Amino acid sequence: MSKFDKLFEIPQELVSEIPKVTILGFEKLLLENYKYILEYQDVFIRVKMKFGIINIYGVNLEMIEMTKDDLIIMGTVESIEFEKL
Amino acid sequence: MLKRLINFVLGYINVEIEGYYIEKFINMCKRKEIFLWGIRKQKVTVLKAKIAKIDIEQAKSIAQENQCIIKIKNQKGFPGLWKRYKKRKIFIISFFLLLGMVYLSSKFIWNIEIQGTSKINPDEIVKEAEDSGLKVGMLKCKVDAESFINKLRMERTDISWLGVEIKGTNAIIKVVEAEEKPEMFDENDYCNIIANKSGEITKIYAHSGTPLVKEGDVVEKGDVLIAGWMEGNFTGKQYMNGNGVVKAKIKYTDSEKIDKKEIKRERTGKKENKISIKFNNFKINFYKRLSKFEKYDTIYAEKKLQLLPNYYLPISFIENTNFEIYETEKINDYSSAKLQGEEVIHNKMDKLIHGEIIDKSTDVIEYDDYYKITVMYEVIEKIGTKEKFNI
Repeated sequence: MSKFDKLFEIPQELVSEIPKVTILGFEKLLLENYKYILEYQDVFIRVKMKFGIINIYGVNLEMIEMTKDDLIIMGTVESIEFEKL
Repeated sequence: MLKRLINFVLGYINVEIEGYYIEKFINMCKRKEIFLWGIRKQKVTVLKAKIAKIDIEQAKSIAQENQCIIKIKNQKGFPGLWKRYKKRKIFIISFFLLLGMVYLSSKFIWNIEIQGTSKINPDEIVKEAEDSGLKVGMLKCKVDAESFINKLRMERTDISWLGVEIKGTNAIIKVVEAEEKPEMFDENDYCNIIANKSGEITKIYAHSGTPLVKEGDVVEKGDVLIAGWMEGNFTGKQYMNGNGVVKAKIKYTDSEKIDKKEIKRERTGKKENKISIKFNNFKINFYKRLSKFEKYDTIYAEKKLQLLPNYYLPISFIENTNFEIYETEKINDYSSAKLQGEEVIHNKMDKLIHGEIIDKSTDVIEYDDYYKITVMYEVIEKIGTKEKFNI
């Protein structure tokens, strides 16, 4: 974080590439600052983030929205796993 | 929401991607800023996704690099719709014609609404508006509200404020009625008590001031009853606020004609509804036969067609309700005519008389085909009102 960002109190997740995972009601998942998708099945998604990999297990997983930094996954999420590299 | 709208306008394509390295394809697309959405795995090697129409060519080349196959399932959005309906020329022409007509009709005034009237009849104001140019069916830009407002304000004293607001095709005339306030008297003002009705004085008390009439005097309307001054032997003439109670015997007479043969119309309870459509001034009836009733009353109920709350169209539905009636002839004899005439006059007089009725006499004169009934009331009433005067 630079001095400028600290001075103006800019939120950390906006300026850095720290991954952020938000789960909404076990069926909607928002991954911010992802890099790329390693594997995609409808029961298992593996996403590469900056500091590691996130494994998502579930049923009928669907990537409803994909932008440069954000990924929204819908479906019944059963478990989430983090692999720190 | 906005994104959906943009996608709809630009058009998007439902595609099926088949291949072993689908993840690689997705990542390549992401790197080249081609965005996919609604990604769903169908089989192990088959993926369903949506892609913007403008990106499809680039996506095809990426797929070729990654040994994937893109199959276009169907096109969605406005370009697809346009392609489908392009050949149907009459449909497109009539669609644009309709749009044009709606736009054109929004340039006219199709309804006049009056708000804020309680004593004034709204129809009067509508009529005034029509006379000065604000009428149904005129162009909105030609409405000269200013002159109409000025004209009506000059002519009428019972309106204290008037505003014209044009919303959609609805012209709303807002009226604030002027309240007639009674003239207030200050304790220090000099005033007389004068008669507001003519009659014979029965009682007079003066609290302050000099009574100018005696009991038994006959006064005319406008005569001074109690003068607002007093004269003393030593003080001279002193002006004051005249006050007192004056009661007088007043005669009210009224006459009424009652026909010997009277036709009474009564509803039988049967009714029928008929609907017609009106375009501005042109009316189309949806019924061909005349009413099945021999004699009937018709009540019209007009309902204007509205597109939006303030967007009236020049089309209105008219519901004609016919009520069947039957006529009976009633022959009035002397006593029934007298009773009827008295009742009619009593109802009329009830509003005028405020005092105590001490006598009532009825006079009936018989003519060839009617009776003339004259009723005379004798009433004791307060007749004094204050009137200011200046020295």
